[in-house]
Amino acid sequence: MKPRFRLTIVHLCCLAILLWGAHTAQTGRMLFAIPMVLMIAGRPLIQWQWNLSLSNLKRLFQLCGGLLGVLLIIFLVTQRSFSIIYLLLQWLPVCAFPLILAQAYCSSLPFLLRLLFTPSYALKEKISIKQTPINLYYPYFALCLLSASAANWNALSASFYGSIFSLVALLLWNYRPQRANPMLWVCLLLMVGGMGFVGHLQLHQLQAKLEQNTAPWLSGVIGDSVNTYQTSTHIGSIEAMKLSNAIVFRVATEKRLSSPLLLREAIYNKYGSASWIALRSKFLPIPPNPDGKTWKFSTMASTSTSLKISTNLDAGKGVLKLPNGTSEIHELSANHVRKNQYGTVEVEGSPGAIAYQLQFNPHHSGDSPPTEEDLQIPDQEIPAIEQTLDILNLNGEPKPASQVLTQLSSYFAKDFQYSLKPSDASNSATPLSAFLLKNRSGHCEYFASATTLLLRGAGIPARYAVGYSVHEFSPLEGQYIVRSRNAHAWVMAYVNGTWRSFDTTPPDWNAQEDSAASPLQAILDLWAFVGFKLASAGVWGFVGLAIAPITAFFLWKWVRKFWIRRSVVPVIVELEPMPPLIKEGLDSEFYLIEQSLEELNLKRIPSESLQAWMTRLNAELPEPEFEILNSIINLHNRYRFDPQGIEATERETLRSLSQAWLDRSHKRVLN
Amino acid sequence: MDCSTYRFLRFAYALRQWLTRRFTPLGLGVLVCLGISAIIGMDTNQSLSYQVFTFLLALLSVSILASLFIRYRLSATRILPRFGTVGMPLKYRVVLQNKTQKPQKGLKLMESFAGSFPSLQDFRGISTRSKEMMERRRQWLRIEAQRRWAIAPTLALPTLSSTDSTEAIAEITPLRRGLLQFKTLTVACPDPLGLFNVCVTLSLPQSVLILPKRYQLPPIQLPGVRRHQSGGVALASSVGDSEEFRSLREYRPGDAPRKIHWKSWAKVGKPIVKEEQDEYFVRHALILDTFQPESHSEVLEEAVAIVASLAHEVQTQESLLDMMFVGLEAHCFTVGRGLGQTERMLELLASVVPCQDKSFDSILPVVQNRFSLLSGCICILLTWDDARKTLVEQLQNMGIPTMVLVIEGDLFTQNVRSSNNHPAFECLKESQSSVHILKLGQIQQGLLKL
Repeated sequence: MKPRFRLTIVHLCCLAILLWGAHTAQTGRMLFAIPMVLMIAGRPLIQWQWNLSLSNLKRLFQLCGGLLGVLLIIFLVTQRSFSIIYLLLQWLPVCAFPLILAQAYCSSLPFLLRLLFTPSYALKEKISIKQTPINLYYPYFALCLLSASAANWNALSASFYGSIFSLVALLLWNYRPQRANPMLWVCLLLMVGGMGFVGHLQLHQLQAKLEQNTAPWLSGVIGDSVNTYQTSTHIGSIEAMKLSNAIVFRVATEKRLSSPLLLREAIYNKYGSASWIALRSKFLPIPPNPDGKTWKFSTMASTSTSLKISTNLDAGKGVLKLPNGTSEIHELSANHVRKNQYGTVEVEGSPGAIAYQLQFNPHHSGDSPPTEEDLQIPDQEIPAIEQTLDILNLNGEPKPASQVLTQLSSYFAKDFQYSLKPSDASNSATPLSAFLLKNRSGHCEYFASATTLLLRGAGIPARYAVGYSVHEFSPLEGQYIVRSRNAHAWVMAYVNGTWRSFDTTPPDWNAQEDSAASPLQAILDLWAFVGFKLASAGVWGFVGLAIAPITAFFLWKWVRKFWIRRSVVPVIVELEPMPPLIKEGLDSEFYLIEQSLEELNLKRIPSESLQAWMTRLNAELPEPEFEILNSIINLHNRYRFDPQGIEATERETLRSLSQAWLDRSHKRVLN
Repeated sequence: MDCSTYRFLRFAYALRQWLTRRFTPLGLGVLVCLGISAIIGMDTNQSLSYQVFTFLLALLSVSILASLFIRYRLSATRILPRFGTVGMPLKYRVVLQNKTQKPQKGLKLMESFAGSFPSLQDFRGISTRSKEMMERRRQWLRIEAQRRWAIAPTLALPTLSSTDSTEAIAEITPLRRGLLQFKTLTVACPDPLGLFNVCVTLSLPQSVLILPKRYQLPPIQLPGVRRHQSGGVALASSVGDSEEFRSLREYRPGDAPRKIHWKSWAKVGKPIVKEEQDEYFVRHALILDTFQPESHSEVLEEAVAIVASLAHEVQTQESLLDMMFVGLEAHCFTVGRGLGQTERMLELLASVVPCQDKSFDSILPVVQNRFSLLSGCICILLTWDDARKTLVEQLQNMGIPTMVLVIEGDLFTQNVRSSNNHPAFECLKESQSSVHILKLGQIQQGLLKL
């Protein structure tokens, strides 16, 4: 009769691993999942046993920790975004797999684990606690499910829920209480499934609604990611601005730039309470060209410049950094590209590194024509603007746009200073009026905001742009690098029927911020460059990174060995002369007697003991001589073999008796 | 600050207890996964963990809801033995009476003990002793482990029939000597999904005396000869040689009036007294050092365990054994030759508390009073200093063979290091006297070498 199949936690674990592998199939994790399942499920077919000691188990934990550490380093180098937490979670089943392998192949592992987690007092008192052995399959099952869920799998989200439901239901069925009625159990579980399904849909919708309502404010607070609807400036802030030196993106140009290049992220048109808002911003999808990687925004100008931008797409979406007048983007791997009427471009794709090439002509802007909002000045700023325009003599008849720009440019360059420190605005109506009329010092947001409003006051439509200034060329990388502190704000002015960038921030702002760079910046840049290269290299980069520490370790070992061999001067130790080996009793005079007896043909046979020899000699020697010889032998035996030895007087007796005996023997022979 | 931290720790302990009682192991796993998925799945666009979260939340909610419909009543009685021993499994019977109409199956029994959590004084003691956070934590964990009375694994109960009472054998492992107080008995029943327990807690305060742990000892030949027991033995009927009449003699001033032989006085006309044979037998002292500044220490526990082992193992049919120690007051308890019982001595040892307010000298009068009676003495000392050395020297001067066992703990190391005062053999004048140093953690090995 065939044994009845019973679903155990091992089978459930295999199913969970398969779910994890299938879930992340796009990233090739199924290649890991299948061998993992084979190794666990094939256990009954393999006779081999893994004998694991407690110290080996600790090493196994260290191995898992090491794997996790290596993965963390790789993700830190290549991703540098919030998504590394999710990536790390997705790889956790691989990191913990050595432990599961030990669970499968080492029958003593559950008990070793129990020993490892036994309270110290029980170990000390040698108290045996009857506790169930620890089975790692259960936590691993949960880990696989959670890891599988850590990836975004929107396309198959319903099937994922179904899989999770089925696996957990199977587990619960196996461990249902003996008093539970199966029908009731099934009903309750179906109820749970339904509640969970409705719940997760509601939760998702709730977040979408919350995002819709609060995202414009939230994303402004959260950090680097640009809010395309609104930006809060640091105008009026009482804290000094602190900027990071981290490299945000890289720009490769055909030739070196003669002046800083401004790459904008977002454009706004309404100012109020130190914030800029993009009024009635409407993003429209841009269809890609048939190749799927080219996106066209406007007709390309006859003379356009090309450049390549390499950046990171955090969480799979972001805002593209583009120069004014961008007509086309090539080589951009993205699912969706959307652009609003002010020229801000949003992109959605897979998270991680992206690189795109673009064509642009700064004199050929494709942004929407100016509207009434582009000429509006907030009421509370009007007095200061009017006063400044009076100073510049721009308040009267409209003057040519180029003249206004030149006048404003020279006014700010001459009378204003760049500073990241907060200014005192206590006696002024607004921080911006304090900047214009009193302090005359501030950062780029002050300059850009003031210029925008002044241009509007002079009758020129203007918008506020935020983005980055590209000016730092890295000889190491052979391209421009743009740091977080290169973030900048400037003005888009509508001159001669097109929008053009207009920056009134004193040109020394770059130098001021560069001076605040860390002395270790070069090392940090090198580290960032390695990360960038690895991310660009893809899988081979990871392999290289994994091999590098091993290579470095062997290199270090080799250098150490070589260095030690060369540096260690052989030390010649002068050995003290060994004391002569004294074997007690070997200088006994009895040996001379033995020799003399040998000459008398009374030789002792090698196998003969002294006692037996003496018995034989008894017949050959005269009685008194034999008696003396007997006493000599007794003394000799004690001298030779007694650990206590003999006293000096006895030694002397032995010597004298032996000598006398020899003399007599000699005389006898002569006679 | 201390008080609020203590309250927080107490709350955390109570929460831990509640969670382990109320959730089955599978339920705890679901709870942990729920927490993790809540953190990972906070952004529903980033991952699908929110689906796991909602599913697990629904699972636990339905479990808890379903448990509300489970109702059962029962009563229970514990039948406890008189004693238990530290580290030895203690089995006892629990009789359960199902008070519902239908049989109850799949129930689990859990015990809880009184005084398992350190007191606020203990916590304050830690705060005053050490300022470093890590050290405080270490000490707290140590005290928490010391306060744990027993390990009581959950017991799966057999099916409780509706009419009859059911008996189950429970087993706990005591971890501390003293009076182990059972507080409540909880019977848990899992919900149909097997995640959440419905608990019925019965208040059943009972206690059992836990005797100190005992070591295995080699046969110990206690040194010493018979000594004159002055005053005969008032307890002569039960202790000592039988009272033998030797002769009559004339009264001499100083003779006890109770020795007057009234009949002879009447006959002779002058006071005559009885002379009796004096009592001689072997009497040993077992001196336990309880003088230490801490309220609890491993060294004292080991010392008590050694004394308990000696009291249990030493044959007292032919000799007397006086156990002397100072707890809240000086105690001297005698066993042997039918007097007293070893069990009583072990009971006494189970309740020994350290003497924190007196110095070691306070035991000297108790011992000195008995110098003339003692044939031999065993001293179990917690450390070695001048006061202890004085005791040993006095015993030696009186010609009493002495075996000194010193336990090498922190206090010993401190004292020996600071005063360079090692328990040397020089203070031993008696040929049969000896000093043994027992290392903490290797007491059994040390005792086997005696």
